[in-house]
Amino acid sequence: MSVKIAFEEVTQVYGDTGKGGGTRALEHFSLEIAERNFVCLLGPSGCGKSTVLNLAAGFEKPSGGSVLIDGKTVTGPGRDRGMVFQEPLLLPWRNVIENVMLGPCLAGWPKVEALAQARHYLRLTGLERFERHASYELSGGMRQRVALARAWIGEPPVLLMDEPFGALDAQTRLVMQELLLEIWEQTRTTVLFVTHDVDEALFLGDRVVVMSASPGRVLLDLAVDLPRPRTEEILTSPRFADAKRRCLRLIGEESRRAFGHLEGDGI
Amino acid sequence: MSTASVARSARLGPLISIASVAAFVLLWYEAARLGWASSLILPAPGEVLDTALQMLNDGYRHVPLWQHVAISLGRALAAFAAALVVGIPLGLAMGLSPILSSILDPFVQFLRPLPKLALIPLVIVWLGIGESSKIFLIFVSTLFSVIVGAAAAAGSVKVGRLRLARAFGATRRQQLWYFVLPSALPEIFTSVRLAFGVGWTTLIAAEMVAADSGMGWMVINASSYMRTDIVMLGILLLGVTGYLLDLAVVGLQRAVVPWAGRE
Ligand SMILES: Nc1ncnc2c1ncn2[C@@H]1O[C@H](COP(=O)(O)OP(=O)(O)OP(=O)(O)O)[C@@H](O)[C@H]1O
Ligand SMILES: [Mg+2]
Repeated sequence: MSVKIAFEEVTQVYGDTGKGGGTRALEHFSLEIAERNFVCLLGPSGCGKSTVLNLAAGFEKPSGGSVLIDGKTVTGPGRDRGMVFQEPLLLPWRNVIENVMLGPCLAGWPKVEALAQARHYLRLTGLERFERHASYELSGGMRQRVALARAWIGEPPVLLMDEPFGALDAQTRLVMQELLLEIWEQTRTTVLFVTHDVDEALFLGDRVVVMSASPGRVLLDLAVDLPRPRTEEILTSPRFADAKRRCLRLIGEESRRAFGHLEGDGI
Repeated sequence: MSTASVARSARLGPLISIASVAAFVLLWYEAARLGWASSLILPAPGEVLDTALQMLNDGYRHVPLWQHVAISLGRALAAFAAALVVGIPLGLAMGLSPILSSILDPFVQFLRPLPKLALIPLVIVWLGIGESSKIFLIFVSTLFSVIVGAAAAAGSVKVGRLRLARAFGATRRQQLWYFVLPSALPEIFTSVRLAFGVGWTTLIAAEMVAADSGMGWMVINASSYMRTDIVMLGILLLGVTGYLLDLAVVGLQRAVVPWAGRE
């Protein structure tokens, strides 16, 4: 399968870059994501996960290295990449369906088509009865579902998701994860999904890429060989427990090695 | 406080306010009845009421009472409308363009806190003593608060929202219409409300400029004849009209930006 998203030796430095100053958020970060793959990016807070996503989205330019989509350098944001942010970021002056139709409106789709597509995704996300509701009257989980529908409606070939379910309770989160997989099975877009939850990463991803902190690098790249379609049951299966144990053991080993490496470097 | 008791005090709120006003009027009534102060200094509520009823019939200085109210309100509303039409686009433009902001900011910051009474002599020289000078005075005192508020509001759109706009490939014009302006609306309303308050306080100053009608003029004129009862009536009318004006703006705000403070 062809490579959809590629990070080549990406370095990202924030703040004053002179004399080695500034925050080195990423250093020699390399990652290739194949088309139609679901890749989860896992790592502790502050390790640069959002930075990776922002670079792929084109909100920022890398200080070094390159970010490629379909082999072409990313120069800015575009409709070929959908975003789901950590907060729903709904526009309160638009009702639920108008929020879902935001992308089509900005892209100038014919109204009838936009409406039909919006209804389709509202049905998929179980929100068809809330079409005309004000977005600020929804619960947190419902808002995030609207954000999901809004990102999906244009059926972008790439979907970038930054801890979209981080603020939800365990129950709602599980419902959302299943929903996400359900829609993904139908569309098979390339997904880069950021999380700091091992269970979530294993449940969703074809691959789990673990990052190390400051500066952010790829620590571990694991293939998840759990069968699809995945549902709630798999979470309690021995295979899932095995995968999780293996993942945690490798994270532990790699982290210790990385720390030892750093200490060795320092002296 | 528990939610229940908050809800209960919210329901009791208006009742408590009414009781508090009633208590105040009663105190005023008693103070006048017991002769704590001469009626020149503190006319009784009854006297003010009598004056009001009499003026409803005869008017003040040959002008019916409602007309004084209407004239003042008309001047203020004309000035407010002009301040909004000029101030909101200018403020937004300043908020969006650092260059324009740098050019205009010194003047705005100089004129905004300036006591507008100081402008009266100049305004008379420039515009004469007709309606335009009165409206202009209220206009300038409202304008700068509107400009500063709108400029701040334009910059208040969150980074996340702008990223959302860019992710959907919004053009600059679309970013403005779909994201920046609606995001600025709640804050614009708040600053307009404050600006109207400032403008309304300038009414008396404006009507000092050779007027022969209006609530502000009525107060000034009556004070020179020691008619404290009419002064009191004028103050009451100014206060109540200003309050109703504010309620109207709040009502409009609720209708236009129902999401304000609820995101
Ligand atoms: N715009 C910025 N300016 C300066 N420093 C930044 C900026 N964005 C990120 N950083 C820094 O880069 C590092 C990585 O940040 P990033 O937001 O990518 O982390 P993260 O892995 O997404 O964390 P979290 O899980 O808490 O969201 C942090 O040290 C952060 O302080
Ligand atoms: Mg983050």
